[in-house]
Amino acid sequence: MSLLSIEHLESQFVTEDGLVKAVDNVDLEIDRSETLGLVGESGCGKTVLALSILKLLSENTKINGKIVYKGKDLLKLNDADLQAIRGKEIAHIFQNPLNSLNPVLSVGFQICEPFMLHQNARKAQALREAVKMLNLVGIPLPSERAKEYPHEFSGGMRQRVMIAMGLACRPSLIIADEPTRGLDPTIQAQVVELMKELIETSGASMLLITHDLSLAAELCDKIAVMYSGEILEYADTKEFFKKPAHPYSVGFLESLPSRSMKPIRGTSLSLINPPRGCRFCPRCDQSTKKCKDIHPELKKVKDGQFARCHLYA
Amino acid sequence: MLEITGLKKTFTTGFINKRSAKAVDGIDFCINDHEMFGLVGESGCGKTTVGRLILRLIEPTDGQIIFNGIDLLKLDKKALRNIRPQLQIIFQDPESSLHPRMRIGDIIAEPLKLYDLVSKEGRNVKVMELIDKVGLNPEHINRYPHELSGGQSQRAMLARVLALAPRLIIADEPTSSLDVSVQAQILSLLKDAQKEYGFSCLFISHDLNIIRNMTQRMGVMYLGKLVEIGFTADIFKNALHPYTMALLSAIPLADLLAKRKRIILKEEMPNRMELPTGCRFRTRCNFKDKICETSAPAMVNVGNGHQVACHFPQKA
Repeated sequence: MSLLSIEHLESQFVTEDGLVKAVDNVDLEIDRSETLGLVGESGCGKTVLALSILKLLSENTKINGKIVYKGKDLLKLNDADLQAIRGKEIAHIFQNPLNSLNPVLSVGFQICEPFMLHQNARKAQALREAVKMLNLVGIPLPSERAKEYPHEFSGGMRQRVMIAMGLACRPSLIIADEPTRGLDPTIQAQVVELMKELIETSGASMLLITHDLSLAAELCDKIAVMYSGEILEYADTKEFFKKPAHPYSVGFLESLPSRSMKPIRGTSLSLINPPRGCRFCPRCDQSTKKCKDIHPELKKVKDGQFARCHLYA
Repeated sequence: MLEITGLKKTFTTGFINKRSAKAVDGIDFCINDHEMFGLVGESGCGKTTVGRLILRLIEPTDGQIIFNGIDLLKLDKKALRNIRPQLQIIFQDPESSLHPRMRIGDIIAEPLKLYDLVSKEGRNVKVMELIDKVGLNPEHINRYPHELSGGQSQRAMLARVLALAPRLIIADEPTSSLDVSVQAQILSLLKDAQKEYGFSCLFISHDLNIIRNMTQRMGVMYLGKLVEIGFTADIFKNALHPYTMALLSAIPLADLLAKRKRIILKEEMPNRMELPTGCRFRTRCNFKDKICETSAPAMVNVGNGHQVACHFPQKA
């Protein structure tokens, strides 16, 4: 049985302009010790999907479907039960560490919190654990740095602190939202190596959300490509990068500066009134009349590769 | 066409305890006609400052900037204003560099008006021509910047810059805030425009893959100094400075499944107020020796215009 399975998930926002379907009928599974990369461009709904898992979205969001974690539907849990899972069983590493750390609390205290909350640790003991975590993520002089505040840390260091907080209670599932965004390449290299090592040693599963395909290629076992609220392709990492199936995946890969940097024409569309047929149809070079009229389902292309495209019907 | 020698900029902070940061500390390079020159480095290395110094958006502390035989630093305000149409800049963040209360059409027409390049009647025609050239639709003319996406704003910015038919464009991370599929659109647009208008370009970026795609020659900056200059192809084939090598080892390859052997650098960039003695890179370098602590390496030419500042240039 998979560790987390998401079934028919819909996350919708009620706005003045209409209903925004940020996540639209998404199915995903993550096995134990598996890393799933959720890739897509800004506004495709990947962050909303991640925030839906632990119900971290605002009140005006409607979430439908099922999110089953170890046999329990997270969407049916009450606040107290959910609180017991947040940070302990499932940890969320947010993007933009400066905004996610509390500026008026010392870094050490912020890493203590999960220990005190979930393991009833005393403050002194929690602090010792926090220092251990800081050491684990490669922060020099951890016992001194623990007393400092987030603004005294550099971007790369803050990201390490976020990782330390996420891993504090040895969660079974880590949701990492753009963990390397905004870091310089040499610092990014340090953080990626650290994450690789920590995932391997802890055996945790991970949902990695990123727009960076090279990061996904390096860290993930499976890749899910999201576009306009939907999963367009779901495949084993190897199959995906060897031969992407969906025309959007192909275009996405070809637009990378490390490849031919060939652009995809047009821009992604509004999530308020998506077209009837395929959502990628207006930008696709291989579209036919069928694509305009009929919404494609996620179909098997071959073993370990699924695509939502009429080419594979 | 553009020749920069000994360019320096020191920022001072503090009132009583005056401290200074050398943002740009004596750099020399030149850009040829019709050339795209890439400037690469991590945040805080001073690459953006270099771009702004060239346009005198900030005043250099020392140095010389010769543009087509004219020393830009000797020009008075009026002469500088007269030469500005030839030197233009595209900023990092397009949304905040377009005036929020002007319509796109007016934004593009503004430079034409200021420098009186086209008659009043011809202006609209020219704006339409530019709008079309950068791939916007005529209906965008009456829109406000907040109604455009990031990619469209950057197109508008390019149209405004092209209106003056400049000889040198400084493109400061023009696509760092865009998605890859849109980034590719803007970069190919810039490439096409360069072919058509024949301007030179200082292309500032932290992304080496983009630099490889866009530029003929490049320079690598670290803590206010250039550490390596050369033809882009040469540097990618045979990087000599340990910092360039580390940067190159971290970039994504075309085959994303290929194993990369990253060179992991120690620590982080030192504080600019307290620069290390000798070579600035030595605190993070994997090849440092005694001499690196005491003497700063000079730029050495190793052939074919490939220059490197290192006591132990590595052979890859």
